[in-house]
Amino acid sequence: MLVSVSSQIQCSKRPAISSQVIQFLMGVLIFHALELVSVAQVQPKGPVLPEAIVNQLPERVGAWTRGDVPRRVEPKGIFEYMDGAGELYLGYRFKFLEVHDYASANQGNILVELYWMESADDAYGLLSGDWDGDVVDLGAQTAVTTNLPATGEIRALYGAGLLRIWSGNLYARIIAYEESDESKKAVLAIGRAIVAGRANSPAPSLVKGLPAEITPRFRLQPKHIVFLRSHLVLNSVYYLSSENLLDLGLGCEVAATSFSSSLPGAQGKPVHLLLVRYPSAEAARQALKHFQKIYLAEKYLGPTVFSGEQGIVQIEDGWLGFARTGSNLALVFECPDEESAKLFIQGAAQTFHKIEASDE
Amino acid sequence: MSEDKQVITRRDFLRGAVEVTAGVSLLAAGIETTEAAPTGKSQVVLVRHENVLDAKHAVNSAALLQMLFQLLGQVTGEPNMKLAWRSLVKTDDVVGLVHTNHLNATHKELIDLVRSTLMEAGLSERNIRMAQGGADQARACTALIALPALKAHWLTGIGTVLKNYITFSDSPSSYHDAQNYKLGEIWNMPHVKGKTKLVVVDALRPLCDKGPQADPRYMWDYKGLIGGTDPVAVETICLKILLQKRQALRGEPWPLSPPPLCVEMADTRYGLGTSRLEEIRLERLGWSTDSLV
Repeated sequence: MLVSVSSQIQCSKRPAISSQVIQFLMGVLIFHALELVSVAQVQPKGPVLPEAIVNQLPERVGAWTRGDVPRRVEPKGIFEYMDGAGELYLGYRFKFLEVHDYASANQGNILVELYWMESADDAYGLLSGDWDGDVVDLGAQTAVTTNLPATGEIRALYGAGLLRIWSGNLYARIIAYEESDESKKAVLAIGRAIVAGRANSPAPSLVKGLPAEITPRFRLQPKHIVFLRSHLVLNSVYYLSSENLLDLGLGCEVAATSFSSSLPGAQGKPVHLLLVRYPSAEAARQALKHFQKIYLAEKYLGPTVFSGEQGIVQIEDGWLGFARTGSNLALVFECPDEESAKLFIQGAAQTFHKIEASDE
Repeated sequence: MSEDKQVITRRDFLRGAVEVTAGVSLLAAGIETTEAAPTGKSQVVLVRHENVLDAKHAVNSAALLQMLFQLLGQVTGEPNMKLAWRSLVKTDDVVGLVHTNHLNATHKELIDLVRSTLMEAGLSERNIRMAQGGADQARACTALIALPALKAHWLTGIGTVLKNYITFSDSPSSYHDAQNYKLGEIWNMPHVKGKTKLVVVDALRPLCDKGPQADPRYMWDYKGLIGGTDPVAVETICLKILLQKRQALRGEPWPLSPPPLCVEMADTRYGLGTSRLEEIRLERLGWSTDSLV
């Protein structure tokens, strides 16, 4: 009901709005805001849709017209909306999804999905699942650029009709089912409307703290950076196990990435780094214990070459290093030698140290 | 396998404790063609038609019918569609069409053609059911035609043939996540076992990345049907196509993650067919450009 009231507000095209028009629109907005307050007072239960976004979505864009009533999907209902896919969003701190449909007579529909998350980190995490696509600056009127900035600076990516956006605690997917020059313009216009007036958030601190290189031999691969919380998402990035060996969950923060190696031949394969922050030191301790018991079963049960909560061992695909300090756990996989594993663990320790210093 | 429980780790793969998966072995191994085909191998038929989709991905039903005819003829050895269907199902069978209804769904045109040609073969319309959706759907059928669409899946690696029956378990969540390697188990449940007469994979416009939602960047007009009576062999060829497409997109190997455990397990644990390329006879018909296998 709240939506249908607010969605009557038109906020169509962005350019060249006169001051009188702005004053008029402000008046309409205030009127509707007051109206919404009164409606909300008689409907005290249930979260209220973020009206700012609803109001900003254009009613018409190019050949497409927005439907009057958006759908709203709560966490409990997400599998009905996307069978077999809801685990991704529940793997982050998902609040609810708002779906808008734009219809056209003969150019296919445009679907707008607004995923409202608990934090900007969660929304960043969803975008970080795939950095491919054309980088888009939605603050500019001419939107697409192909220069790739650092991943923490990327706010939107476009490809083949699909625009994905990270804007504060919002992750948005806007997809034109029939891509054309016109649909692309419409998709980008909707994207600009969504982010208008919203402040950019910084990338998660774990991501910002990642070293650009571990000696000149190993360079960070920005397009492989993923922020996550769930072992299902980790397995879709770097498969460790059918079980949640690292006890990941919504209280955890994880930066997963890889580093290219300049070493020749087989030693030149990428090195994979995981940085995990647990809710407590005890949670981190238990997680490492769990990981060691299953993943390092032979080392754990037989003669050990490591002890305590830091170690470097050689396994089938190279050298593996791990280190826990407090609530932080670093793991590095597929290092070409023991020395490089040590360097990665040291680099991870410095990253954690920097983050904790900035937290303080 | 790891100690004392059903936990599969990356190290198990590396050690070969889980036998080399199709996903791994497919990257290196070649696939035999019709010319080299000895008997005793599982047959998989790949049919493609350059004009089955137009520029807007709309289906040309006449071309699709031709492809279905070719596929059925090659699988059964029969000279026409009627005899081909009659060699697979009886006229009094209750036939369930098991399509994919989400994330790159099976094209309706394919379902309609299967239905109409079954009717032309003598089956009554009321005995042809849409069987996707639950165990009771399978129980009500005496024969099943699997009609999945070709796609990767973010929880199982591949989400095509084996996963298509997940609702027949009445407990789909029991086969997600860590339990996805058990998908083959469903095909051996009493209400499913032995009923599948043919697998026809809709590979007209596959999805080669994991999703979980369809992303048009990873869909392409492959314009194919892939069929056979060995579901694991068909899945293995599907996997090969997905992996080759991913490698072509990235210019380097781009493995599926998580690895498609269910494929090899369907072979070695559940005995549903073969995931070993040396035991598969691939027969190609029609358009050959960028076939990827």
